[in-house]
Amino acid sequence: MNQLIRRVKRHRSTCIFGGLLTASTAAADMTGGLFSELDYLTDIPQVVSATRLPQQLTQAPAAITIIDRAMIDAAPVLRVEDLFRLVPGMQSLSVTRNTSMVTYHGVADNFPDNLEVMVDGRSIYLPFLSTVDWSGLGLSLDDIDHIEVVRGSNVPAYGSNAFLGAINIVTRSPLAEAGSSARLLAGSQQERQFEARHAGYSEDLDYRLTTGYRSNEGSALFEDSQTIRFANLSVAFTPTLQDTLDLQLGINQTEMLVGSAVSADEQFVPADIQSNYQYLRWGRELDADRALQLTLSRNLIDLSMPEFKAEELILREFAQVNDMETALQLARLQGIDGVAIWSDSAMGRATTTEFELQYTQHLTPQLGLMAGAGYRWETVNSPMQLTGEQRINEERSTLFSNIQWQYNEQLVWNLGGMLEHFSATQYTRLSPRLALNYLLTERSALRASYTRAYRMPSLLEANLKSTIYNRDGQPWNVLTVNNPNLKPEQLDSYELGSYWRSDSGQLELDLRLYYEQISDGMRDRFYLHPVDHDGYYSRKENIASWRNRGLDLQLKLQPWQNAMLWLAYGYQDVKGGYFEGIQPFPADATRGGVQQLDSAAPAHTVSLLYNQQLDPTWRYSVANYFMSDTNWPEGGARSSFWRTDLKVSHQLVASSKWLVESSVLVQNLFDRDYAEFYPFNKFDRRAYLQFAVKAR
Amino acid sequence: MWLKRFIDGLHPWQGLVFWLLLLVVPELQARNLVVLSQDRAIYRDVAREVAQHYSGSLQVTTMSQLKAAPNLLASRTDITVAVGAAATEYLLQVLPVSRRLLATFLPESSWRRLSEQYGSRWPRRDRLSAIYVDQPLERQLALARLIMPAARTVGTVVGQATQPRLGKLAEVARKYQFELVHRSLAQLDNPVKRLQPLIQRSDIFIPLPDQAVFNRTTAKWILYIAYRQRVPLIGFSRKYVEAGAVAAVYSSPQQLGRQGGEFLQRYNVSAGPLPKAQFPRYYSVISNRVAARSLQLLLPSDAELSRQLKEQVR
Repeated sequence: MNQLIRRVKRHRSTCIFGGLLTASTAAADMTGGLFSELDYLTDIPQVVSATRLPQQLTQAPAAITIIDRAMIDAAPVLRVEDLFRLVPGMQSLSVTRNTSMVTYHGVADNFPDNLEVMVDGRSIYLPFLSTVDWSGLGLSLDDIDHIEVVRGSNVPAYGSNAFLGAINIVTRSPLAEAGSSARLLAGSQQERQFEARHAGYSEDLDYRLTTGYRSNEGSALFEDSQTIRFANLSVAFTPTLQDTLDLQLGINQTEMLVGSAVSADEQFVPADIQSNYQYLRWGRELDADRALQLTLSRNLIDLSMPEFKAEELILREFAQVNDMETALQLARLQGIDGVAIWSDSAMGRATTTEFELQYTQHLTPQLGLMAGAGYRWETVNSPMQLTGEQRINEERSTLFSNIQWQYNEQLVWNLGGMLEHFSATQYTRLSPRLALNYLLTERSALRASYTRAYRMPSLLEANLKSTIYNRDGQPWNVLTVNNPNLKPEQLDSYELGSYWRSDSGQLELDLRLYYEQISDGMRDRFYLHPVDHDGYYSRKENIASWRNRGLDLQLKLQPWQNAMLWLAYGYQDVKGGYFEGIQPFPADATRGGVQQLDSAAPAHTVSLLYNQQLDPTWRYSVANYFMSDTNWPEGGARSSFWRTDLKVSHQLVASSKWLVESSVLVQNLFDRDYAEFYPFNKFDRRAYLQFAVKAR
Repeated sequence: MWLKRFIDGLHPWQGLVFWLLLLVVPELQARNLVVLSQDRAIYRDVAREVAQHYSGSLQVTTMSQLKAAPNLLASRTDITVAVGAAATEYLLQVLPVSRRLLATFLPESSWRRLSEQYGSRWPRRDRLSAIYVDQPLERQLALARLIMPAARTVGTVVGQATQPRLGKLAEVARKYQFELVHRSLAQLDNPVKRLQPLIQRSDIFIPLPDQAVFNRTTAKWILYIAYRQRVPLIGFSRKYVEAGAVAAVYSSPQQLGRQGGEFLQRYNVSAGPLPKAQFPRYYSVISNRVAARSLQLLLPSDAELSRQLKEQVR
């Protein structure tokens, strides 16, 4: 009985082109005015994520990592989320065989809530889980043009979820591709992947359709298999010279077994996740200096888990109970026989509809302005987590702006802010950022910035309340109690950064020194309950505070012909914690007392990627990852590990029209015995064989 | 130089008077005024190269400084140099028409537009000259011929400002055994719809620089469609090549400054008419190896391409 509740509580406690073609067109710098000589010059990669204004990397108020097509092709990865192992300061972990978590600067459990993830500016963060469902991404690696990762709070540009960082996955335009391609992969643990893509065009429209199927049988210990089916369509339409319309539709279905690999005899339960999205973006270049963008999007996710009767759950969960008779008796004793309980609280149905308007203008050659407003409507049904509510609706409104002022040849100021109001709490917050960039040369800069950011409670966090009732309708076990006064989390972030690129472009160095102070962090606080079944309950409160300080280092080098070397190093020192409640808790000895966060992030992370093109047809790449000891909330204490992955590819011109690429991919080449998050999800050695056929 | 000899020959007190006069009478200081459009490194680079290749002395100022202190313009007979379109426009309006103006570092289309707009103020057009920042059509087509010897059709797209150049382009294309295919794009046209069949029909594509909005919007579509159709692009700038054009002919600020300096060296001394506006004399070829490889084009080195090109257009 206690185990049952602990399990439920655990989940409750975890509630929660030619690269850059989009920005590299001829004149998106600060000249304003008619076509002039300045359009010919400047050669730094341009980014949009930091402020929504097209800016050069040296002028952006944040540290940005760009994962381009070359890196995506080189990296020995199977899934999109694995690419983030290459970003300094970021951790991408295999939680269970088929679930992942991606976080920046640690201090997160398997539902990290401090990182915004977007696809073409559309957020894929789930408000009712307070996290991102990577299995529902619905994208092929081939659909991606590049990824912009903002290392550092990006709330001033994109709002609450971008508390410590933001990821924007930019997909390839349907205009960039033509013809069909197919990919087949097979390997360890019955991994089977099949993808087919087709890009075509009619007189007026250009489109690309991607369909995919992925499945594997899961780890040997838990047999936590997964099957994913997805399709996405991207359409581009240019009605006039100044207007562009992009339409994206996607659908995804995941069937998998979920659980927490905390013990060897953990029972995984089947989950069925259906999701779909619709996204429309209209961009208009008003004139040489001004542009307007309007986006409309809708995300729908339906996460269903099996519902068990209490006695069924008892039979499943407890090793000592071997027959239904006994289970039923135990249930009757408690008065919960026949009561429906979901085995995992992270389930329900959520719809998010969002509308956003963004305006950019070069006021003068030195002054750039971005301003916008957004509105989001969220609806969630989640019986387990929002007991007693049919549906919860919340609205989020935002007003945001950024001004870039080029004071002189060397100095660039950026001042931005996001004003956010969320109906679930009575708080409205302004998150500002001020940054100063000193341009040493055209290709290198120093940067200092300060950001004050607020993370609004998500719909789930603000409304969370969970009680199991017995047959007579009386509360049998109060799990969580709602906190109507939940405040936003607060971040004060100071950083010093430098970016340097050599004249030839062969060496790029990015260094970020940071100090992040987080206060009013939301955590579960446990209290004794006089009459409840296990004697306690929890409530989400603003009780945690910690500080991060450290550095992110990123180096990209082309040491010799046809080779690329990438090095990412992160050093982090965390200090802080929170008081969870007075010990001891009758039912759960691990609860209560002071929870330290000092080792909730790895002190050192290193990623190394080396890619070498041997001759026109052969290529190989090696990746090495290292992470030092970490005590992950929920996951537990993991010792340091390092791992090597390898990929070897061969390209063959099969005919005048087709190209065939075969690859061998091995992950954890040296079969190191280690786990990344949960103790019993060990990452074994895996090998795969892949064939891809592309139209030339 | 005669000034120096004159000064050396003076008695000390005569020399003192002379220097005092020099301070009071600025027009005796034979310095050419160079006006930069903005206080930026690129413009200063041009000015620096001009100075390096000119034995006279220069006074470099920016347009905003000049607006604040217009007396800097006060009567000199020597050539005034504008660096960039903005400075050119300003000087065309305020420079006394008895003076001579060399506009440098601006596109041909900008010079044409500005000289039409303000030309009525200047009775003697031979007091005006320019050194463009963009390349003559001959060079671009010769480069196209070098990149793709077997190509038959060359495609281009024009906006409102470049429409007048079509005739000349067709003529130069014929000279290099190309058939020209072209379309124009107006504001209300669907650019992708019009570019797609055009690029498809082209063996090689050369977009011409037009107004900013036109360039900004079309460059994106042209790059995508040319890449998809496997049609090599000849860009008109370094940035274009970095974004995916196979190659471009390009003059750096240093090369343009050098030509400016040599121009001053030759024409400043005489008070006569200035030659017609000219294209850059010094240029290099830059290429995008990745783009070339994806198009199955085997290109020699940039230096070799440059040499071959110079031979062609000699």
